[in-house]
Amino acid sequence: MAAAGARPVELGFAESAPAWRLRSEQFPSKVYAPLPGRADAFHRGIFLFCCREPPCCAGLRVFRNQLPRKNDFYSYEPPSENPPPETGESVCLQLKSGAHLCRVCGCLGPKTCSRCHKAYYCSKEHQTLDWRLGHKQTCAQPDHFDHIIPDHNFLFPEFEIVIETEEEIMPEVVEKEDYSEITGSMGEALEEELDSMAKHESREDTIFQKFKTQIALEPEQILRYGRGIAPIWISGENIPQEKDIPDCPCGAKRILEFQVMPQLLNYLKADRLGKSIDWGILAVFTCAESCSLGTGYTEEFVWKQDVTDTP
Amino acid sequence: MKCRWKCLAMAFFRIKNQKRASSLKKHQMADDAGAAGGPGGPGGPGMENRGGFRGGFGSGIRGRGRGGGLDRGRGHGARGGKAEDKEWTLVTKLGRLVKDMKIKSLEKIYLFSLPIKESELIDFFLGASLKEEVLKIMPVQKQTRAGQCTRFKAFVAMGDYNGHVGVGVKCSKEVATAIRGAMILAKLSTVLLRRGYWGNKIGKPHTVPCKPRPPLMPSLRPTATWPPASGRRLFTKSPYQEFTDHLVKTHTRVSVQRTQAPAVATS
Repeated sequence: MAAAGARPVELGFAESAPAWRLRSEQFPSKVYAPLPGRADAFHRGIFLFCCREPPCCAGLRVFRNQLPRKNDFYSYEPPSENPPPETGESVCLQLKSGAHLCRVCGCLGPKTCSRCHKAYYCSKEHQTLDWRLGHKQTCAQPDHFDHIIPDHNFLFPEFEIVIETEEEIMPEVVEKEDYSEITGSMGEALEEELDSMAKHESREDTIFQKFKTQIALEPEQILRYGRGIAPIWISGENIPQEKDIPDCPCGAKRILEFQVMPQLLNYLKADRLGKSIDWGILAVFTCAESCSLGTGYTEEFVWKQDVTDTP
Repeated sequence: MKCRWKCLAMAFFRIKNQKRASSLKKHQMADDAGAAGGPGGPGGPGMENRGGFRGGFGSGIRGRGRGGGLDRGRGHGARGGKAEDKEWTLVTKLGRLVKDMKIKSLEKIYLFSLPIKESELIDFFLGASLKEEVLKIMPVQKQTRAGQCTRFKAFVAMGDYNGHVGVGVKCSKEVATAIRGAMILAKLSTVLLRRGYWGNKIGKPHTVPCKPRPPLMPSLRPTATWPPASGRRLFTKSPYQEFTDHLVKTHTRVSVQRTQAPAVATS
């Protein structure tokens, strides 16, 4: 495992991109992170899910999947950079294998609307959601295969992440607060008063300011990627210890793969005045060996650190 | 099924250094789905038909540059001017709500005693009328084996002459760093002042109701439920008052208090 400081950090920035670039078929979010030198991990994706409903606003789960280059799902050749010649439907809700996708979330949709049998859903909740948002009108019509899928406000907006390597910044000297003060004799009483009423930097403040200076070079970053790097914490509380990070079922330890920054929430547009999704940083830990799974998914570990509420 | 989202105004460009071998291109579509758990399991593989290769091939073929020559890199404008442009990226939820204009005034934040962690919020609300003043720089020393180690302690007060004041103190090896840090802390410690009348009841409230000198009086409480619960932050004297007294004492200037009366605008 490389030393934490030696590895460069890759920063991710969100950019909008035309739809044909983002997908050819429907699928949920992922960070595509292949491992060099591993034939079985040519395609390696890490999927991060979170719940946006107010009472929950967390429910974070992360899954990893890896495939060799020759596999049943992706073609062997890289995809083209050019837009496809025919635009046709903006979204295709059926896989080449014939499986249908849910109209709301894009997951596997085995259930159909019992009236028209043309709209597929993954669950009853999504069916009710879609019914209210427009299927009620179109269901009865005979030929209603509408290409325009309404926005169910269920999925987050879609962006593409573009990667850049972080530039090294000169580390600032860490300042310790345990100095005894030998003050000048000018106006001592005044200084004491000032000292007592002015705001001193608390430990939380120091950590938070350090976080801000570290991201100040690239304030738009939403992702920091680097296998085995040390994450930058946003608060002094709630830092995971070794024992908090469970080992992978294969026996290997889990190491930090990437951390999601709070700037991503700017793009997700999920903020509400009451309770809503909020995090300080999300640190994703994955198996150090990146153990082989066939074509299934392994669950990995994600640690959420909030910005402290205390001033 | 998903609407197309317009380009964000925040996308800005930098001419990427082509020599840098950052050829790993990772794609993350930020459209997460579903409550905790994996309905994505059975439907997952077989969907993404693109992009994986750039990374997979890219790892073998280094030095390809981003996007294989396609001009889709990110970029910046003049790097030096970055600190001055008003594009703050805020990391706290409060910051995001303020940026989306869901919170319209600083008083709302005071009303709910929400901690302000980012000084950019104060800049956002008080903006141009904010004035900062360095009250004092004092050197403090620590005895080490190799002699004395001197650091500078800076006291900065800031206010908008309309009821908001803050005082911050920061110690650092360099004067400039100390002043900068103290300014940020001053902004974070902003409080709202309560003003009333003493004597003439002309115009808007203009007198700060507290005694200017020790013995220590009960602290000045603003009308809102600020300051927060940590008792250490109570001011024994109003910093505004202290500020003006200090100015009177050290700068031999006419007390600014009365002169603010005609200038007070609606708060």
